[in-house]
Amino acid sequence: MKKITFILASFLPVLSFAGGFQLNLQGLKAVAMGGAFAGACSDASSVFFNPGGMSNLSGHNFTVGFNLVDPHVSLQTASTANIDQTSPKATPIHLYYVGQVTDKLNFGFLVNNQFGSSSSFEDDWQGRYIIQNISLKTFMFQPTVSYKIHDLVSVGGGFVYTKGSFSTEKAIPVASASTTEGKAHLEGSGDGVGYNIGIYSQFLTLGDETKQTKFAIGLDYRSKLAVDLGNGTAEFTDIPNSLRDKFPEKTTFTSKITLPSVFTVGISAKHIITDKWSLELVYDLNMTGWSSYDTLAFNFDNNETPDSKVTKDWENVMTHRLGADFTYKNKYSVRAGLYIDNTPMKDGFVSPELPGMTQTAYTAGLGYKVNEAISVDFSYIRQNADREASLDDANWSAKYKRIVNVYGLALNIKFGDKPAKEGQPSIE
Amino acid sequence: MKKLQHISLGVAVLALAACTKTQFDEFELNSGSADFSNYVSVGNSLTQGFQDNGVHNERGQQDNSFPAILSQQMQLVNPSAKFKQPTVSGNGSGYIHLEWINEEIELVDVPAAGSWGATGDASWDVNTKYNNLGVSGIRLTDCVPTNGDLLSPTINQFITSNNPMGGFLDWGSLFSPVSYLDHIKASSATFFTCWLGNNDVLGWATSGGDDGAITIPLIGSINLSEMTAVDVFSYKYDSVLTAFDRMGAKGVCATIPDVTSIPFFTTVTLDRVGDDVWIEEGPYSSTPGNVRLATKDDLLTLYASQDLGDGIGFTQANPIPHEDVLDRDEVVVSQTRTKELNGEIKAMAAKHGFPVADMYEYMKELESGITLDGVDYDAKYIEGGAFSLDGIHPNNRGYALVANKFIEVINQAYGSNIPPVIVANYSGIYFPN
Repeated sequence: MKKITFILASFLPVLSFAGGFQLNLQGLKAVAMGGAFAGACSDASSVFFNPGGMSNLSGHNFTVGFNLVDPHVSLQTASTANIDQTSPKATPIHLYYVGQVTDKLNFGFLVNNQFGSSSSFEDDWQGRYIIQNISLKTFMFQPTVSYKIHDLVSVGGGFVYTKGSFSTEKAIPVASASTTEGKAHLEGSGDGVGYNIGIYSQFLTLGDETKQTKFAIGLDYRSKLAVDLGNGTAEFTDIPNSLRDKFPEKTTFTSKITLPSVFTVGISAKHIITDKWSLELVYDLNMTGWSSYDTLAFNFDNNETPDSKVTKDWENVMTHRLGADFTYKNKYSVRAGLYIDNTPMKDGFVSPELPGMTQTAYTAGLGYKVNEAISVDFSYIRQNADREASLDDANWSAKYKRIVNVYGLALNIKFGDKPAKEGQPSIE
Repeated sequence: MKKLQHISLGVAVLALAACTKTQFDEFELNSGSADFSNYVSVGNSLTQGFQDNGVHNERGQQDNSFPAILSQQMQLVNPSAKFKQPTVSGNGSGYIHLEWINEEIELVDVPAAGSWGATGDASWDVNTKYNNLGVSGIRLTDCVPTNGDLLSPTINQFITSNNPMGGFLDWGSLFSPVSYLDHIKASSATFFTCWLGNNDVLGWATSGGDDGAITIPLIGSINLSEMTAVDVFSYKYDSVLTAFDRMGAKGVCATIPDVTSIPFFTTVTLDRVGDDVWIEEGPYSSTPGNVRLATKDDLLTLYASQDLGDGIGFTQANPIPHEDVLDRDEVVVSQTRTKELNGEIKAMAAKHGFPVADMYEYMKELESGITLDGVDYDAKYIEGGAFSLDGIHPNNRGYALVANKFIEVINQAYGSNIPPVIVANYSGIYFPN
C-alpha cells in the first residue's frame, strides 16, 4: 500500500482576545445617586466628575474610598445548561484631593481605577478557546486646577496620566499524545495620557437664608486614553514540540488599548431648609465613546506566530443617571438613584467574559458626618440583567444572567475650612 | 424617622445582596415523537468510526464514532437507551499517526493489533447484538441482493465475509448467505441512522477510477470498486428503508459528500507541487492510459504525494499512475453519480417519511470553513482540524460535527431536543512531541 508523504502547510489557529470595562465607582456620594455628579460637585470627587466644580470646595478636602465588586455571572449554551463564571471580587480604589489656593483658584489631584475588569472561567470550560480569563487594570493620575472665572461660573482642567496592565489566557486547539490543548498567556503593560476638562455653574438660587433652592449645571469631557502596550510578553505552554516554531515558549508582542472618551452633562437642584434638612436631585447624561475601542490587535515579534486582530465594533452609548440625596441636620444622609445603562456591544459582538447588557441598575447609600472634619459614605449598587447574544467571529452564542453587588466605603476629611459654604448664601 | 430609614434601607440591601443566584436550570429534555431506546446505525466506515486509515482505539477513536456520540446524547434524553459497538482494542486494524523525526513531522504506519485477524477483532462475537452495524468498505450494493440476479446473494456473501471490518456479523456461507439487509431486519431498531452509499462512488474514486476487478473461482469476475448503477442503488435503498419502516422505526438518512470536498483529493495540488506534473489518465477516460500534463481539474490523491516524493510524475516517461489520479473526466463521472445517488436517497427517504441529514451540503459548508466556540474548522488536510490523517474520514472532532448535524435534523423532524455536543471537547489531530 502506498504511503502518504506528509505535507504541512501552515497551521494557524487564530488568537483573539477581548476585554474592557468601565468602572463607574469614582465617588460614593455619586455612586449612591445613580452615578450622577457633574452638576452636583459637592465633594472632592469633583476632580474626577467635573474639575470645573472643584471651585465649590473650600479648605482642604481629602477622600479615600474603595468598592467591593461582587459579580455573579452564569451562562447557558445549546450544549451546557449552566456555566458559572469564576470571576474574583474586585476592589477598585479612589483617592481625591481638592484644596483652595486662592479665592478663585483650586488645586486638585486624583488617583483612581477608571477602567478594569477581571473575569475568569474554569480552564476546561466550553468557551476556553475564546477566553479562559482576563484581567485589565488601569490607574489614573490627574493633577488638576480650577478657576472661578465669574461669580457663577468656574472652569477646571487636568492632565491625565494612565498606567494600564492586563493579562489574559486562552486555550489553543493543538493537542499531542501528552497534552489535550495548548495555552496562551499574554500580559503587558503601558501608559498613556489624556485630559479632563469641565465647566460648572450654579446659575440660579431662589429663596432666602432660611429656605433656598439652588440650581447648577456642569459639563465635563474626559478624553480617550490610548494605552500603548509596547512590550507585552506571550507565553505558550503545552504546545507539541512539532509546533514550537509557531508557538514558542516565549515571545513578545505590541498592542494598544484605547479607553473611551466620556462626555457628561449634569444638572442638580438642591432645596435647603437651613439647619433642618436638604433635598438634592441630580441628573447626568454620559456619552461614552466606545467606538474608539474598535479593534484589539496583537502583533507578535515571532514571525511564525499568527498575529491577531479582533474587530470589536462597539458603539458609542448614552447613560442616564438619576439620583436623590436627603440630608437631615447636615449630618445624616440617605441617598438613592438609578442609571439606565446602554451596552456598547451590539449583538454579534458579545463576548462571554464581559457580556454587555442594557439595563436599569439601582443604587443606594448613606452618609454620616461625624464632625466638621470627618464624614463617611457608604454606597451600594445592584445590577441584575440578562441577555441572549452572540459573538459572531467565534460562532459563539449564549444566554447570560448577571447579578452584581457593589459595596463602597469612603472616608472624607476636610480641614482649613472657612465658615461652611454649605447653606451659606452665595453672593448673587 | 431617620432610624427607620436606616433600618429599612439596610434590610432592603441585605435582602438583595443575599439573592445572587444566576444559575440556569437544567435542560428539560424529551424525545419528541421518536423512541431512542434501541438506536441502530447502518453504514460504512463513516458509521463504524474508521479514521487515520483504520478502525482503531488507541485514544478512543472508534469509541467516538458518530453513532456512539449520538447515542450518548440520546441517553441524556432517554437514560434507558443502550448502545453497543463492536469495539476494537488498541491498534485495531492498524492506522497511521504523526511522528516527530529529525525535526520533521512525518506520517508513520502503526501495525494492526495482535488481536486483529481475517474476521476483525478477536473480541467480536457474531452472537452479540450490536447497535452500530457500520462496516468499513461496504457498499449499499453489497448489502442487498440485486433484484432478479440469482448470483447476487453469493457475490455479496463473498465480498462481505472477506472483509475483516464486518467480522462482528454472521454472513452465513456461500451456499446459505446472510445479507446485511437480513441483519437490519433482525435489529428490532426503534431508531436508525442510515448513511450508506458513499463507497458506491468513493471506492471507485479513491482508486483513481479503477473498477478493482478480481476473479473468483467458480463465480467469475467481479468488480470490487465499481460504481453502483442508479436504478440498482434506488431499489436497494428502498429495501433498507422498507425494512426499518416495517419494524416501525424512525430514523434519519444521510447523503453522500462530494469527492472534491475531502482532503484526500484536494491536498496535492499543482500549486503546492509548484511544477508540471505528468499523469496517466484513468481507464474511464476516452483514451485509457493516455499520458498528459495534469491540469487543475485533475485531482491527485494523497498517495500521489509519495509518487512525487519518489520523483515520479515529473517526466512524460514516468507519469503518476492512474490509480493515484482522479482525472478530470473521472471527477465529472463521480460527481454526477454522487448527485444522482443523493437524488435517490432523498426520494426514498421522502417516500418513507424519513428526514435527511444532507452531508453533501454540510461537507461543502465545512470546506468553506466552520467556526464553533472560537475554533475554526475546514476541510483542509491536518490544518483543517476536522479530518483524520487519511484525508477521507473525519477525526473525533469531525465525527462530533457530524453527530451534531444528525442531532439538528432529528430534533427538527421529531420534535425532540437532544443537546448538541461540545465539538472542541473531542480530540483533533495529535501533533507529535
